[in-house]
Amino acid sequence: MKLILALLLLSLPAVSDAAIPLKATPDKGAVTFLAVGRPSMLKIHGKATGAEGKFTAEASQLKGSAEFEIAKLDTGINLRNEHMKDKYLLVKEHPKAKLTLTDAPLDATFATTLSNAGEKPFKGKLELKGKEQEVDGTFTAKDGLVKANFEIKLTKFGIELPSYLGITVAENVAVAVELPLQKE
Amino acid sequence: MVFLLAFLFSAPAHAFPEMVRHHYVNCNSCHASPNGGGLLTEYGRGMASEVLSTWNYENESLFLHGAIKPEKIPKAVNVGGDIRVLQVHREDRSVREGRFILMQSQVEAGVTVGPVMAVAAFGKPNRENQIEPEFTRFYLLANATETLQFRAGRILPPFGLNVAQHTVPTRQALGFGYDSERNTLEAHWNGEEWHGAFSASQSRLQSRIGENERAASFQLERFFNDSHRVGLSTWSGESDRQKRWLGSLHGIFGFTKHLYLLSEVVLQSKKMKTPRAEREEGIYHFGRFGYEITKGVHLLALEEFSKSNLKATKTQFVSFGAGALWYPRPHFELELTLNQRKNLQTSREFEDYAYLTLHYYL
Repeated sequence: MKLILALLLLSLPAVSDAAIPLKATPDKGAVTFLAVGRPSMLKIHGKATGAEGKFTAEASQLKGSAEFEIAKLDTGINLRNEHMKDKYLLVKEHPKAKLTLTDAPLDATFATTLSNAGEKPFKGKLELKGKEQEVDGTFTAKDGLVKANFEIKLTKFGIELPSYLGITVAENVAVAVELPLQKE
Repeated sequence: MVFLLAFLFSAPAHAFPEMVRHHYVNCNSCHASPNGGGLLTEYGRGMASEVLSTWNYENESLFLHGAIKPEKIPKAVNVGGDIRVLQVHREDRSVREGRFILMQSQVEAGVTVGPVMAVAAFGKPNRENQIEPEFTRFYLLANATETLQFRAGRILPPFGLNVAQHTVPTRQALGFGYDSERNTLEAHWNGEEWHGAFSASQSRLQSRIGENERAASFQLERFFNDSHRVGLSTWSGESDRQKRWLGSLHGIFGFTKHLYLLSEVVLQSKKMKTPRAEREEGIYHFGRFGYEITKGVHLLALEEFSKSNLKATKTQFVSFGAGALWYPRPHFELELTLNQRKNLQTSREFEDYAYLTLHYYL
């Protein structure tokens, strides 16, 4: 009997290490950013519906990537949207941004709860305007809803600092991604 | 006389603090003045088309509707100006009267040299609706850093909410209404989450204030969620006639892109020197709800209250109203409000008022 129990216990890590396929659909979740216009500290909030992605939870890591259609972003002012998409992000040539996770630790219980305890750091690669750069930030996961926050430097992606009628956008832009993950 | 007092002292400044609902947390995105109002920045003119107005064509919001090509105006020069007129109608059981008032008629220009900008506004309507050749305000503004500004000149010091409706109790009744610009030295700190301002000022006997008040003010505002702005202000002033202290709590709340509230409550504690009298405490309040039903068209709900002496019921003033505000095209602003007002100093009954304001800026 003891031998059977021992064998069962030994087999548990193998079960939890099994890859769990997860998906995120664009109709749920959200991608938002906050940029600051200087010198008057004007806040520019951009928002859009979510990203589409495929992930796996395996070996205590969340792996995979999500893609996002930049044309969906809305800053609340039409002219500003036009400038952002056509002049600075060149959406026609580079319609999507892609975030690939390289290090996103998961709790051992994630496989059953789709939740992590507290906030954890993550690392990834972001492809934007045809350039890929490493990014790092923090993320939380609760009941399958993953919320990630990170900051990007516009010039690192070859994006000229947007400027309009005396207001210039600061180089660092805060990005927040909400991905509701579902088991496939 | 009350009728005249109520409206002659109404007037200028066209600050739009409700723009905070579009995340414009500091006034100097759109105005040269860190307090808001007056000369528009290039960006402010752009937003008049993009955010404020129902219709527009390309470059319409520029000076003189773009009739002068921007490249023909030196980059360092900024020119503007305002014409604002008011038609008031008042009615109660015994009186029915109307009055046309030229509230504002001025040209304003600014010249920037390095980090310093010099601004002056010229032209002042008198009680006969004629324009007197007089400077209404002028100042030197120095940008010490991206966030720190100093200003010196004849201006309204920072205190409470600088709204265009100068007849509200928190402005006019406390000496911040029409023609109350003072000789002022002020400092502003415009941060991402905070705005702070300090001023030292002296009013002029020749102004509508009619006394020489030396005052210091301090203001601190915090931005929440980039759509709400809540602030505290204090004012300590002394003239030959009286000594007073003011404390203000104000808020600008952008609940959604369409729904907003401007509100302020001020407490005043004053002691007359001549003739000597007991200390008086008073309260002053205004609230203005707005809902933008379609771009440039706003429905308004207004309320005002004041009691200049909390111990004397007859010093109470109450006003309720509703109205509409329309920015049809850049340069134009129309506002119609219907109000019921009761001033216990003059009557125990409500009186009906209608105000139609037309504002055109160059």
